[in-house]
Amino acid sequence: MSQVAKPSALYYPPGGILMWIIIFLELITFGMAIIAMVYYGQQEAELFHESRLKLNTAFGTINTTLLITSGYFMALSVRYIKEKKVKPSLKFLKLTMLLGICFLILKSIEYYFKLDEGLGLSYNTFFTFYWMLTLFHVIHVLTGLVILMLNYLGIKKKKANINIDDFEASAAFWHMCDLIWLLLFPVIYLVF
Amino acid sequence: MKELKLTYIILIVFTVVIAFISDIASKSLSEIIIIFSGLKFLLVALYFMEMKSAHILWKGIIFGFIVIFSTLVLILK
Repeated sequence: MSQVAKPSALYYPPGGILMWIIIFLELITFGMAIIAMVYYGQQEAELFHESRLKLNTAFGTINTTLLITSGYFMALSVRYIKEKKVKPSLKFLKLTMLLGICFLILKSIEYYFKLDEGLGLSYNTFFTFYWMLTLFHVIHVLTGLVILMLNYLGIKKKKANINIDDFEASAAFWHMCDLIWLLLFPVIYLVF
Repeated sequence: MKELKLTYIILIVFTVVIAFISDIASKSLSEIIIIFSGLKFLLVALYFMEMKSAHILWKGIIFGFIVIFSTLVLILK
């Protein structure tokens, strides 16, 4: 006799439907802004190329590595919490947050250098997109860190009563920051 | 866990590879960069976010999004 799967298992993605609606809306918003940047880049190809060369690819690559590693730790944290192994889950959750903070520190250093060189929001079209897109992403990372911190404190407080769905939804939000960065990084730092 | 580790290694290798090839300035290489980035996006969504086990509808939306996005970027570039 074949097993009948629960409808929730079939149609509900990990993290829940509501979180995935938010994720898709965010991806579409960032996606449209990035496509607008590429469109303007085609209009002012020389300016975009010269501006792109003013960015430090190493900063972008290290930041990508930091976010991917934090995403890996987040995924491990979710796996452990599902197996009811709270201690390793908390350990990886802490590492996830630590790498998120490292990302923000490196981004701040990059911003400092750019402002010091006078490459602000109104410098040219490329830098307008650069600041708008990356700052909007930074706000998401900050929000993600607050959500993860609340989860961490919640789990530490009541270890016996952990809502896996809430934890998965928080993890999905964190991974969304990875996804957005994976769209931003090549367009801003590499292709022009 | 092994699957996650493998995904992580592939993601790091892809990141280093696209950063390296971007130094060789060429228009044709920007296509490779976008394709690699699209693959990274799918790996994170399918394995880190566990969408691999989700309904095909969700996988289809993710796949559709990244294909449309990458195609538009490559057309407009």
